[in-house]
Amino acid sequence: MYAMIKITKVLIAHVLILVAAQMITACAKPNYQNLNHDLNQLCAFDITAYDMCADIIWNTSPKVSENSPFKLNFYTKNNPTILVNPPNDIYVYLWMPDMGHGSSPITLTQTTTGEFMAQDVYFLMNGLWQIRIQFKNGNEILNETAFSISL
Amino acid sequence: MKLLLVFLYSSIFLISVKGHAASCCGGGGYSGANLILNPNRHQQFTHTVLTSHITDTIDSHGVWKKYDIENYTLNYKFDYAEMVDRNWQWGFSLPLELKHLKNSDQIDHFGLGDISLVGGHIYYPAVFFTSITGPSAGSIYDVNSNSLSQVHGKGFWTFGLGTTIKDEIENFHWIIMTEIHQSLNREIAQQNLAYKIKPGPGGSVLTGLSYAFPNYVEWDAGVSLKLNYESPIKISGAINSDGAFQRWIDSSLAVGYLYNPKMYFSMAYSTNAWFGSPQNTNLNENLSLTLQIK
Repeated sequence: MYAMIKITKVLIAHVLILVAAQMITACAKPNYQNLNHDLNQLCAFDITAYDMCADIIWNTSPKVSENSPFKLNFYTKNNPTILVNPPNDIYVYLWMPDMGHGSSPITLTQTTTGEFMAQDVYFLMNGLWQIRIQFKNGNEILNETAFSISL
Repeated sequence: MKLLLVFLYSSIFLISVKGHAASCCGGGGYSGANLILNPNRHQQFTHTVLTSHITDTIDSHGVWKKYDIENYTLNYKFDYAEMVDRNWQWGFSLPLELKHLKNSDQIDHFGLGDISLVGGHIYYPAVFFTSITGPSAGSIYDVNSNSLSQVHGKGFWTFGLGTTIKDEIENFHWIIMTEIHQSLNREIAQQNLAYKIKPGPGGSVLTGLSYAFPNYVEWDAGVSLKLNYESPIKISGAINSDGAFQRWIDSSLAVGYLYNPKMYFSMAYSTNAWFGSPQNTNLNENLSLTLQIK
């Protein structure tokens, strides 16, 4: 009986070591990719429902944990030279889709027709973020569009 | 040959059953109190000081990126466990955290972490346990701040179930711990948005091996590996988001010293950057000092 227990223990120890061996042979392989892309994209927000686009124009390149204000310009798809107001109230917020959380509220101010300034824009950490725009009628959300950015 | 090297390597270091949260978020991994694994012990106090540093972040496609912000956290955790009779025990865990982040501004914040309660039953050499962790700390869902430094907790009530088996063969000690947990849903109303957070289940499996030196009986050393998985966090309501799962492997190297039969010191280095294919998580390095008073 004692021998059986001993053998069982030794077998378990070997399984542990084999698991450890498997882990060691499966070392993590860093996969760094250059995710830099043109942050000031034309028609970054494709608002198909309203046949509109919105551009995002950064004051400076967005940085983690620093205020990264940007300008939002709305226009119709068939005439990108003339700014127009979005058809509804808009609400802009930051979201981390993989992690399932947002950031502190953005302060949005309309500067002229079709142009908005977003202040207090804080990306709390590195990773994939979305800038989301909701088109609202009071509390009712009519439409939503998002622009992804990897920091 | 590789197996032999692994065996020798494994023999040098002590088991450390500590796993460290790999990211800001998630449904909440097991962070319950240290359990009493020896039925002849009545109570156990554990003081742990841990310093942690995030080096990289990995997205849900497995792409790595260097972490931009100068950061470190300094944790102190007090664990208490006590046998209430021959087989049953209870315990709690009280973490405190100082978080330092520096970018354009230096931001430090000190706060309480998530407190957990644990109950266990020893059926030697196994211990079956259950844990409850409460959202006693500010989480990413609660803190309305421009910095993560005020985030010290996960933000959920989390219930866990698990088993720890620990035994020895000659001078080798081995341990296996498995654990599953589930966090409760939460309703959030922030920024004029009301939505529901639905965390999925998570779990971890830890294996460890340590060696007690026959000629230096006070010293031991070992390694441990802990596989962690967290299901995606789904959001519904005014915000909709499917989330993505998280996975990582904590590896730990440790040495321990038995100062006297009642006091045991250990020092451990751990990281989740060495093994496996970490996904949707931060990579960090941790150094901990532990004093266990039996």
